[in-house]
Amino acid sequence: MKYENLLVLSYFKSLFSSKDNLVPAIISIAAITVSVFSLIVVLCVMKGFDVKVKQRIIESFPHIVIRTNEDYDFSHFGKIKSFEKTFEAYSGIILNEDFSVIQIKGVDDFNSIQKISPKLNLKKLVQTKNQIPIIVEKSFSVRRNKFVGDKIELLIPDFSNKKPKIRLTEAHIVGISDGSDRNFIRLYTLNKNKENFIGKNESFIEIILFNPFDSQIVLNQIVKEFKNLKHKVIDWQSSNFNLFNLMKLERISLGIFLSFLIIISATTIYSNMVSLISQKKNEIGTLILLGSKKSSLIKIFTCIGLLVGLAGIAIGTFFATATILLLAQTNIINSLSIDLSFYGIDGFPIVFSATYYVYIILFAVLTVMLSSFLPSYMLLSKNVESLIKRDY
Amino acid sequence: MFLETNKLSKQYGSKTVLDEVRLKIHKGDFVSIVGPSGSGKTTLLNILSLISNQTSGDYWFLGRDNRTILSNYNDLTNCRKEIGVMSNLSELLPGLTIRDNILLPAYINNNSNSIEKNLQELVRFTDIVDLQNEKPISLSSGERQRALLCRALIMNPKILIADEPTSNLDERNALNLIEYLVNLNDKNKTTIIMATHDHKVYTKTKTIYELNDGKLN
Repeated sequence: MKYENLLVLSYFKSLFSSKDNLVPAIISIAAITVSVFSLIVVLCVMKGFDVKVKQRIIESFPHIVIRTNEDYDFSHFGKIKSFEKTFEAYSGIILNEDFSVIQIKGVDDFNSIQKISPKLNLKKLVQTKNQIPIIVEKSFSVRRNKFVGDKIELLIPDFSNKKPKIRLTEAHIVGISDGSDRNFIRLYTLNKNKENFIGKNESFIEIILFNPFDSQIVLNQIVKEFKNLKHKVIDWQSSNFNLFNLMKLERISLGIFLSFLIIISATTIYSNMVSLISQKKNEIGTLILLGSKKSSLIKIFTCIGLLVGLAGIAIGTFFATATILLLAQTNIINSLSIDLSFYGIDGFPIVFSATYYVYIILFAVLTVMLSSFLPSYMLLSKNVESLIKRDY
Repeated sequence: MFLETNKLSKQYGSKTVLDEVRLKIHKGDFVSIVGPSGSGKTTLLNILSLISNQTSGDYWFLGRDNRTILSNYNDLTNCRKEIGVMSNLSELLPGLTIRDNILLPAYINNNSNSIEKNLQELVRFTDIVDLQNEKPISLSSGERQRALLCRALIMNPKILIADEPTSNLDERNALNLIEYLVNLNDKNKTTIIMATHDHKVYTKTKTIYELNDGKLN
């Protein structure tokens, strides 16, 4: 064993065997543990939030939207799972003295509702003439006591004149679809009834991809093939760019602020090292007398500080991992009564991010190394002879 | 000349501790410096060991000016390898075993493999064979003194500088130690410089210098 290692081990042990050094060493380890733990957990929550919000957007909304009244065929695009021409309108509905805003979505064929919302299963479909056919969701049907064959009156805004007005339109329920995974009421009607809802306004094509993260590639392919769509096509990543950017900014800001915790906790190592070197002054003097080089002494004391820091980093990482697994795999967070329904996400948003682990651990190791090296270098690189020159 | 001083003086403020000391030590000498407490023995040994420097005068260590050596850290480290120091400046490290403490100079100079025979011989002679795995705190001051001697000699230095080496030893151990040093001086031609006030010890040395109020006689 090299004598440097022998001394590192000996001095490291002495940190825990002497009462004077034990408390400061434990404070240093605890401070590093807490800061590494906080940084990992908070950033993994932020990352989890980002992932779950994206997941929610991907599940609930089309991956690419093209604003056009014309028909296009995208069936030869390998990455496209399905596409559907549609329109969207909003209207009001008064039922049982209760006013609600509802969304009306157009489809070419009622059977294609499943292409837009795969979670919906069309149960029953009846044919109707001379009336606007609509399909309602089961939750709406049950709550509002409206079933197949019933009529409902929709309050539709009419912007065709200079003075906007509300038009009352009667629609006929022709089918009920299973369940809903959104917070608002949606009714489906046929695209051919579009003018009853949005007049001459443009409808659009909604595209669902096999891999939503290929949206930019597919978008470029569409624009390349259909040049007239250049300014009419947008993917989910671009339309939510500001939201994603905001979340990223939030993550970076928190990361930076919490990084200061690591820097502050590393200063405890700095002061511990200064104190340890002062305590070991005579022993250092002996080592110098026996031929030890300055670089070896710096290495020895840097390693001691590094070991203290690494202990804190290891414990912090262990507890952070345990916490992340606990939060991700159990519903323990429910006992805290935190309402996450506002964000429309399921479960507590936390994911294990290997990248963050690597960045945080590297940063912590670097900070700890610096706070161990600096006092060792400053105290031992200059006039070390003063440590042995004890004149009588 | 192995070690030589000329008009070597050392002052602390207005107090003169060494006053124009002239000393010549040849290779293989066994020198004792005697004198009462406060006469400047330790100060002189510290200068000879390249631990302190003088206020004025000259000191040549193996033919080289000590100020030149002291001004270069690497040079100083190399020169110190030629000296075995046994003094209260060279304490045992409490975290290491006696064996590791003795072998420390060998570890530092990456020479621990070829030194085992020397170690066994030294610990046998100083009667600390069974204490090799003990920590310094569990040893008596006499045993610690013997361990320090082993460490000072482990690298077979050209010069051994010992400050009151027998101060914590009983009479039997003190005489054994001095016999060993005499033998070492005869056999290996190790130059030994020793500060002591024990007449049983200094009468065994070849040369005796007396230091009184910083003046050497």
